[in-house]
Amino acid sequence: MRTARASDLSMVGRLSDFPLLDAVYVGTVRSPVSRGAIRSISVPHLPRGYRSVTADDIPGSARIDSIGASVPVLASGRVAYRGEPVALIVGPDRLRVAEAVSMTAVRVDEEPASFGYEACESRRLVAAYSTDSGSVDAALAKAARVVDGEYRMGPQDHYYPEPQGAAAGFDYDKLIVFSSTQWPFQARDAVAQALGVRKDEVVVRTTSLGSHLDGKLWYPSLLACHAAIAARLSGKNALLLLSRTDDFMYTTKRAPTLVSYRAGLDEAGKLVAMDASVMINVGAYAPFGAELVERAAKAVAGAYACPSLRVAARAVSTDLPPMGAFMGLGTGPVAFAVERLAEDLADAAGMDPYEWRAMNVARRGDQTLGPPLRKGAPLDAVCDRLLAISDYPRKRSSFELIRKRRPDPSSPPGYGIGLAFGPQRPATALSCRDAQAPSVEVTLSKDSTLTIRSSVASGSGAVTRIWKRIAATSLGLSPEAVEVATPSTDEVPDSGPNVFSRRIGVVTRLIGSACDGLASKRFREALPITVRKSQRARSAKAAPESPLDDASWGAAVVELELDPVDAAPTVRGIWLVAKAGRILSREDAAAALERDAAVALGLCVAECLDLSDGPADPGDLRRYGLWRIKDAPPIQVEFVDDDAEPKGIGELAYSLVPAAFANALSQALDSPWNALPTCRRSEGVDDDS
Amino acid sequence: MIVEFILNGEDVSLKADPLERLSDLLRERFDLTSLMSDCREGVCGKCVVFLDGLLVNSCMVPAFKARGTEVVTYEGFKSTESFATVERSFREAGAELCGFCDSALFMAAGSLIEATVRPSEEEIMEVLSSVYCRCVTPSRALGAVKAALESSLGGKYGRAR
Repeated sequence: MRTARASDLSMVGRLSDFPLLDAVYVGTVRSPVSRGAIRSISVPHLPRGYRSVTADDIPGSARIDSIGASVPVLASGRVAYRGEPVALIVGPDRLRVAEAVSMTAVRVDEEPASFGYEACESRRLVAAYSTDSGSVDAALAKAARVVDGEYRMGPQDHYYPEPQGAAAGFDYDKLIVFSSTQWPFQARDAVAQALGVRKDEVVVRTTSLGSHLDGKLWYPSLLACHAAIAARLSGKNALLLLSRTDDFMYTTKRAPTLVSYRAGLDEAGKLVAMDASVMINVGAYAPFGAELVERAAKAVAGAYACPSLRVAARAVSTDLPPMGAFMGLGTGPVAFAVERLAEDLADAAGMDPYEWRAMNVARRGDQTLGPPLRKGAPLDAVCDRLLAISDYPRKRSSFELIRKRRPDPSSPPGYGIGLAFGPQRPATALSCRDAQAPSVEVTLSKDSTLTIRSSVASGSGAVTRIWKRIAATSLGLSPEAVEVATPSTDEVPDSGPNVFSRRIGVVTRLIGSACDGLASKRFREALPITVRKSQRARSAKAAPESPLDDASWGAAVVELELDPVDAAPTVRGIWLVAKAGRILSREDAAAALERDAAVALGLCVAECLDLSDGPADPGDLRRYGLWRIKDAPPIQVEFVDDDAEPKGIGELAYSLVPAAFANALSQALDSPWNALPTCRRSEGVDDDS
Repeated sequence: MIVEFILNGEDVSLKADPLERLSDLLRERFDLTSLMSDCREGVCGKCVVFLDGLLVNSCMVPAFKARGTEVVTYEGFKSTESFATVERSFREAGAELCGFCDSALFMAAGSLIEATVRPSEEEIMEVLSSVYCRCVTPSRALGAVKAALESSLGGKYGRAR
């Protein structure tokens, strides 16, 4: 008997608050090995009211389409990573479900597993993207100086404020799924596929996302399928909430990335050729693999002009849990790499890092990064202010003097200051399916209240206030008369995935446009009036445009000092300047960038995870150092005045701070530091000592 | 065993396993959902309660330790003057929270007010750091707590200790 009613299920902020009266818990039985063929699954005798679920019990498709990949709902036949779900145990008591999960034996004929990605077999290659312009080999042969560099970004956990999960229950003929997802329509489609029902028979309501760092793009869809299947088979509300340990060990992580460059300079220090390779470890199944490599490849030259450029980006499948997005898709590690390379190239040319950047920055008409730029990269506009507030030129000169004149060259100079500059690509630059025509709807009711509907959750009070203010101003209403509907797939249009600052870059623009449309109808049509606006896809016949023309830009400076005893870096300050169109709320934007800069720094110096020898274990979670509020250095944020349309800033700090930090650390150590987070041992330095 | 204690001002008594976590007991038996307990190792700080006036991670407190104590959760803390001061200060400072750690951060800030001493900035940050939170802007949180302390303790913050 289905007991749930919509009234019981309408308000769930956090999954852990899901009402448990007459509900069942869902426990996950996982693969004990990283690769192999499943021989048997032995479930213990279960008491009345409990049941197990294997792939054979799935009512619909046993696999779901997840952004270019086909992911098993429950593994059947083979397992592709340790911890892969192979069965579910469903029952009314959480502890008894956990006990049954632990007593279930999964026997697998284990096969040798592969975790490395830097050199891979061709069968492991799941996506590739390459581009070639100019005569790279000839230009490198003629170059006055050639610089090689390898830059690594390791895996990291998103450490959500609440571990991932999902809940589901029937409301008459519809299945209501509660999911903490960035993309509710993707979760809805996955659940419908797994249950073998029409999409309109499934409703996904988004619960609080918290700080997700883009880790909730597709994995919540898998958990939503598990909860939905449990609800369907048990006829009761079902809750699946991972433990912190399971979330840490088995959900997606930042995809480890290696970026290798060979770059050539002419006599004056001008960049003449670049041969780049990007290798990304996407773990098992590789959702977003194609998106990751394409975005990484297109970001490989950063903000710089290079007449001869060759890029080969590859996504490599390994027997680790699926890896993927982490504050952007593929661009973060590449932004770190190219800004480290810029510093190495400046060093090779004997130039100041800022002067080298000024000489090589992409200008109007430049085609390094694709179609000709309509506007050059605004290095001067951004850095003029940044260099002034950070006192970068003076400090760098001083630290260089200390570095060169230190009495003992075997000990590090101890002081460093680093600069990084780069773009955040626009929110529209996502090429995967269903993300091309995001829509927003506004409805003016008879009582003069306006409702904004979007599947992209506002996520914060600041964004909600901005949306309300824009709508209220456009229609001459009080902001109190504007409400933002809770994202629920039966009530809001699909606004695409909540990534790349879409809330500002796409949804805010569409709200403004929809409200303007509504204003023109307001006194001509009877209330209620609803206006829906969709972002039109670019015509195939339109002249190609560089995505950088609509990018936001930023630059960061990080200053640090090394502890004289253990050489641990202490960051003295972070300065960040952004040029991101019209800033809709300067205070809120500055607060957001300051917080992002602090978290980004934490990701540089802590939060270390080594998966080179296999998947994470509970000990890795205990050793996983978390950034705390007290660890934040003084951070100063400013914005360059810009009349252009508002643009996103959500990824800027995560792209710029790591590079600026590594550049500062390289100066302080007088040795290139090319891997983050700093506790990685791949550079031959044991930071734990 | 029977565990008797004062919970948010009321005498309560219940049968519990002596080693049951206080966080589980409060959340599952008393439906006090403000506290979360996802790390269960005293790391995240989202399960903090006042135990005899001290801020503790309730996931690290076994049920038998709660016998005869006074426990105040966020639900109880919300009825205090300290909460009103802290909540107002965070709002006025623009220190936005995501809904997962606000109860714990407010209680951490409240513990500083309850202590009636003037902590240094470092001490404030240390206490706020007992809660793992990626959503708050550090300077805003610090400003909010300083304003709350000024408001409750009176006088210019930080002048006297």
